[in-house]
Amino acid sequence: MTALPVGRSPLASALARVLAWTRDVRVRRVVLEAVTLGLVAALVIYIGMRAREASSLNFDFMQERAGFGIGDQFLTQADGSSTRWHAYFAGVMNTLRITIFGILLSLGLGLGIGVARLSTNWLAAKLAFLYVEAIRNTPLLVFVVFCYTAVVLRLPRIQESASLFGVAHFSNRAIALPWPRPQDGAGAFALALLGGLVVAWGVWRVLARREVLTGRPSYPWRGALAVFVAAALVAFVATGMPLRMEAPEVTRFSYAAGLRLSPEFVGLLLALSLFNAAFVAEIVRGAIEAVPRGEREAAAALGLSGWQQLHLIVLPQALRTMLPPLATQCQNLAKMSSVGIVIAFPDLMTVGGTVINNSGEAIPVFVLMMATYFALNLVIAFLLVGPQWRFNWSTGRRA
Amino acid sequence: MRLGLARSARPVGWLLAALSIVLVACSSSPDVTDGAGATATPESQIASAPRAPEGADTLAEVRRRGFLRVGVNDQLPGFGYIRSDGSFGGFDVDFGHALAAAIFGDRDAVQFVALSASSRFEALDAREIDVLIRNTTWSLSRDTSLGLSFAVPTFYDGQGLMVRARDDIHGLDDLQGAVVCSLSGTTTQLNQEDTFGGTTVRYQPLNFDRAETLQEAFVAGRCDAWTADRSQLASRRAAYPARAGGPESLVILPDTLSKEPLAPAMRSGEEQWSDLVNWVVLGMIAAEELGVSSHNVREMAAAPTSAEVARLLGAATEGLPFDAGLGLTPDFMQDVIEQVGNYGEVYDRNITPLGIPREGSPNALWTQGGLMYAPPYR
Repeated sequence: MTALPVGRSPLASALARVLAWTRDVRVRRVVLEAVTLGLVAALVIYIGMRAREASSLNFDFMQERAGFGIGDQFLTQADGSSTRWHAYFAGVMNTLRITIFGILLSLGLGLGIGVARLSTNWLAAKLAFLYVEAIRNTPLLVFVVFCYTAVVLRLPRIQESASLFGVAHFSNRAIALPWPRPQDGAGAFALALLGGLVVAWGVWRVLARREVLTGRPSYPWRGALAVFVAAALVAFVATGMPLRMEAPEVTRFSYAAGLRLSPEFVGLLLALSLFNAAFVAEIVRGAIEAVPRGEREAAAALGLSGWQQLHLIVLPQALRTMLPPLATQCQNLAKMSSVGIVIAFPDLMTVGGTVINNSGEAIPVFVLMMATYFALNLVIAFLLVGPQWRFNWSTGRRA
Repeated sequence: MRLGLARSARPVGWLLAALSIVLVACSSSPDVTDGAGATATPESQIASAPRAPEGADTLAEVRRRGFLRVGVNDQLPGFGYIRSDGSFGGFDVDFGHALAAAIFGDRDAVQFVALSASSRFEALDAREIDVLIRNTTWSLSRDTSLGLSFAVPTFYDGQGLMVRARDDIHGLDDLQGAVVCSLSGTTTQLNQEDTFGGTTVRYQPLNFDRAETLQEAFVAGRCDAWTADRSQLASRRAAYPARAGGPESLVILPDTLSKEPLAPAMRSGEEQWSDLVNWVVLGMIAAEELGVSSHNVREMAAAPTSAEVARLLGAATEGLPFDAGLGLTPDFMQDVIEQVGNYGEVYDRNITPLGIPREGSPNALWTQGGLMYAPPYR
């Protein structure tokens, strides 16, 4: 500090200091961060205040009479005289239904296509490649409307309802399938099934442990399955066969009894599953290719068959790589299901939109919809990425 | 030296950081706390036209501009649509022409603005248009909380049901278990639930977001009935694709699910302007009742058959012509009738081709059992 040149005025030296600070990386960083933080905070506060001005996040209107009916419902019975909450819940159940079945179908289909892309069979590989490219380069909205208007609506009219051996019927009113209808004693049977599941799990543990300890093949999966099936059969007979298959009947405008899937549900399920399967296939392919070639070669050298190499050596390792992107893809599917609104599928987006139109309360309903999708995505992430912790731990990566 | 400077800079850096936060917070606070105040809020910056004070003189504004701006539909054949040559046509559009003829003596001194159902009221509120004539239902809440003022209805509409002729459906009772399709985002769903709610008829509602998808589903046989305002059903029926059987394959049921009086809408608080729009429409109804049409208006003006005709047309028979006090020339109705026609002529030109009969409907003159009634012109 003694090196300050003599004769410089205090003002000039203060100015020099300020100039020096502006060139100091640490000062710059702090100032930049503070300004950014301040701007973001101001923006958030501003938007919040504007939104509050337009609406006071009050959900009392949701307790009013809905006033509109919902045609396709899953485990709910909302009608015009129900509250808006009830109607919204019916929409949430529809979103859940399409998400669960969409995820199951697209994972299964995507796994198959992903493996097929790497197949040595020229035709299978090329077909899988064509499928993935065709889907990936099409907008989802167009695809959904196409699946609905060009596929599902082209089913025969109800007057010309087609039937499969007289038990299943299909037309563009519904796809009606035979479905077990619970009779007296169904509750006991369900409990017995649960018990069978627990016993089967115990059997699996014992057999798997024995396999590890003795080195002798003990077939834990087959053993557990056999125990479960046997338990289910015994329970079914013991409780007096409480499920009766019910075949749908054709009525004037639709079907009665059995399981009836609406064309909107089928169309959206078809579109979402086919669409997401292409992305799942790419994730699967990438993850399999990320497994070192040597692993497979070593497995082949040990004399494992192609299928054994895949499901014993390659897939377990690839699974670790593919789980996080697969979870993201499943979350995408849950969010994409909101396009069901364009084909009249009454999911939470459609029902929410109707509530907005009738009540004029746009902001609370949008907040509600965002919160619902957010919660749904958190659950999906937990279910799919949760196992990841175990996989990492078992290979000692955590440490 | 370098080290010393950096060390002494640290507290100052924090000070600067704190200062910048305070500055940012201060500069943003007026907008946050005073959104509706006199400071320039983003809302007023976005609005394309400045907000005029209460009771603004829309007529003077229109005169200054030299033409009228009318918000209309551009997708509803018969009411408001774009013709093949690109011009606007239809029932609602003709009333826009009538207003232009009344104000400027020229039916073409008008600019039509195509508006969607969701943006129409905002356009009126933001002064992008002077009057809204877009198959808009006059209802209590729109009159009060939306800040609108309605003229007399130009068309008494009502929600109806359209079915396929071969399906053997003749009334609401035949719809037990049927699929009833509608467009969401309107009062249609509520009316339909209100109507069916009081009966034992259980139907399957299906609400579409887009009219094209709804029509496609109806053509494919997904729906048994299509419910909407009767005027819309009629224009949908008129344009029903031939591959699906054409208009003759469809029937509009006689049942009415709701009242939908379609009326021109203005901003409330503009009395003079509202009177003008109202009395031009009423003048066209009165003209039909008095037998004045575009064919005989000049002869009638030269030799009125009654004192009421003379007052309506502002004819100078004895002394000064009758001045309606609307801020227009006394003979403004002559221009309206000559260039556009009376109510019946406008109806016959636009609505009759859609297949909506006038006889026996609320849209007939009161002398013929309808609701079209003009208070005396005096």
